[in-house]
Amino acid sequence: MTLEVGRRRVQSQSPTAQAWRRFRRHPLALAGLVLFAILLLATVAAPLIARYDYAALNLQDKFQAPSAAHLLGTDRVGRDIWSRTLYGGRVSLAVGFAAASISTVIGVILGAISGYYRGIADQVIMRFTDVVMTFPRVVIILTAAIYLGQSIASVIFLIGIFSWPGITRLVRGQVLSLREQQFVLASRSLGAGNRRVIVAHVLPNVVAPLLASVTFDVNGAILLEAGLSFLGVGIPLPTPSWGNMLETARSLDVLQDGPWIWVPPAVMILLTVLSINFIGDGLRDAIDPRHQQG
Amino acid sequence: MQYFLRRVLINIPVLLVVTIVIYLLINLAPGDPVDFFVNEEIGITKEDLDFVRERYGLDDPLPVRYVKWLGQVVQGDLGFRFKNGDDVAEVLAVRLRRTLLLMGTALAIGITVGVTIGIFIGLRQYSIWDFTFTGLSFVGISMPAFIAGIFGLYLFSVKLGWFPSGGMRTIGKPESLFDLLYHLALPAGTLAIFNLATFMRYTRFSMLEVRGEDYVRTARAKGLKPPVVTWRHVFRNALLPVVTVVGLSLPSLVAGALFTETIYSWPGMGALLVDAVAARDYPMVMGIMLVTALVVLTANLVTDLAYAVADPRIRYA
Repeated sequence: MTLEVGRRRVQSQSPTAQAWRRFRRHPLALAGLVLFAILLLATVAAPLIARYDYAALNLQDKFQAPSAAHLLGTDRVGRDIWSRTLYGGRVSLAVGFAAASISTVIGVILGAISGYYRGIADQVIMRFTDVVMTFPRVVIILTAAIYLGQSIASVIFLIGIFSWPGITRLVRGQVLSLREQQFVLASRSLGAGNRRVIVAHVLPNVVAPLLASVTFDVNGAILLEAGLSFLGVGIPLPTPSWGNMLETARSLDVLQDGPWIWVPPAVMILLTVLSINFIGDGLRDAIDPRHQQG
Repeated sequence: MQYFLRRVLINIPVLLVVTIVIYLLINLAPGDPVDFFVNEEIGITKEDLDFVRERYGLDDPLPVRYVKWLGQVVQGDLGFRFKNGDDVAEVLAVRLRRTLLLMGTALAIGITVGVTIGIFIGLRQYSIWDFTFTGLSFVGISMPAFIAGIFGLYLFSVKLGWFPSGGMRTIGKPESLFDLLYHLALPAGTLAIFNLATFMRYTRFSMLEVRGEDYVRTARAKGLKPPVVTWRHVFRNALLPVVTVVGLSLPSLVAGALFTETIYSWPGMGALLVDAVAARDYPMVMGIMLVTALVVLTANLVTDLAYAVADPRIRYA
């Protein structure tokens, strides 16, 4: 929309454009975004920049320190660490995003039902959310992993179905206040049913505040995958993930004599989580300027 | 008083739901306990097994078994370990104490150091200290317990040799408090990092927010000395939200302890859970889940009550 104010034409901005402008002015958020883009690009381009097959054993060159042939050295069975770090990043990031998508879908559905219909449904869902929220996820997933067996799919599934409480609460709170708004009343008086009001009018307004929360959820999922793999119940070998690469450091000889094997995945996890934290903080401040936290 | 009672009572249905979930998990496991004793070589037949099942009530419908199981749990009977027949409740009592020692120490370090630095930089916004610690706190909240643990072990034990690499005491030495603290320092220190950073950030944020309140300006305007304003007006109100954050951080502390215990072979509940899961020792796994739920719920309750004690408005709301 353009308004004529005096002789100057003032371009009004959509909330999204305003938020993006605020996000760009957030130095840490921008740094996080750049860092994350580099990490993502490196893992996506893994086939181009990795010279070895991530699963290829090479017993002649096992346990070698970084050299020109193997940039980051090799592990105990001679697999190239640089290749495994890149391909492991693919797995770790994919698991993070996939699991966060599952938990976001569950969280949005439960939160919308809870906040929109209120009453008994709300009571039951919120109590259940409390239970899941208080229980340390690692403990319950570790146990549930017994029954499902080890695979990438089961890790994604387990992380996804135990990580929705935060999103449920957030969506519920938003929906509770949105359902009282005028435009919802207008839509209803025009004959829209509950489903249509929720999908067409309430949920689109939840997206912005949800964004930062989903970002932190991706972080949680990446960390959880790494943690589970570190304990040996996550991504099964020979598929690399940052977590199961780090797991090798649990034996003292690798920890002591082969830092090149476990330092790269550890640093990658740190950098990824750090960059996503920066992005999430920036998003939160950009979308809700009242919430400025250092 | 009514508030306290209500907070306590609200936890009972929550705990019941937790036990149902845990019980379902046992029974979703492929096979029942009797299957573990199948041994063709000594001639146990299917009829024998059915007899045992009937005797132990394993052929009852699920809800009946749940009520029976709950009855035993309430009496403190958590069954026996598949692995070696030890009493689960007895093993847990020993392990829980060690885990609580580790978590308690880490929490104490996190609160004292985190809150102190948080107050310090909260009073010096945009100073060099503020930037340094805020920057470090970002690294801290991005560092999971297993990475902190591995780095800590490598640096302070393997490279520098300041601390032992694991265990709870030096073998062959008499038990002493000093020896225990010597073994506790590294695990507790690395476990504390994440929470320390979280508490620091919240304290700083909370201090900044309270310093902008009207009543603080009033206190200054009526001529109170700055230290009096800081300690009597800002500090007390700034700590309130921090109490909640401490409570909310407990699940992450329990999860962190699991990794820390595995890395430093600290013989607590977390290390036990990892072993029990690997060995499919169901009674032990379930016992640990139940105790974890109890610990977390109790801790939440204590946090709520602490909050009510600190802030009278909550009690009368």
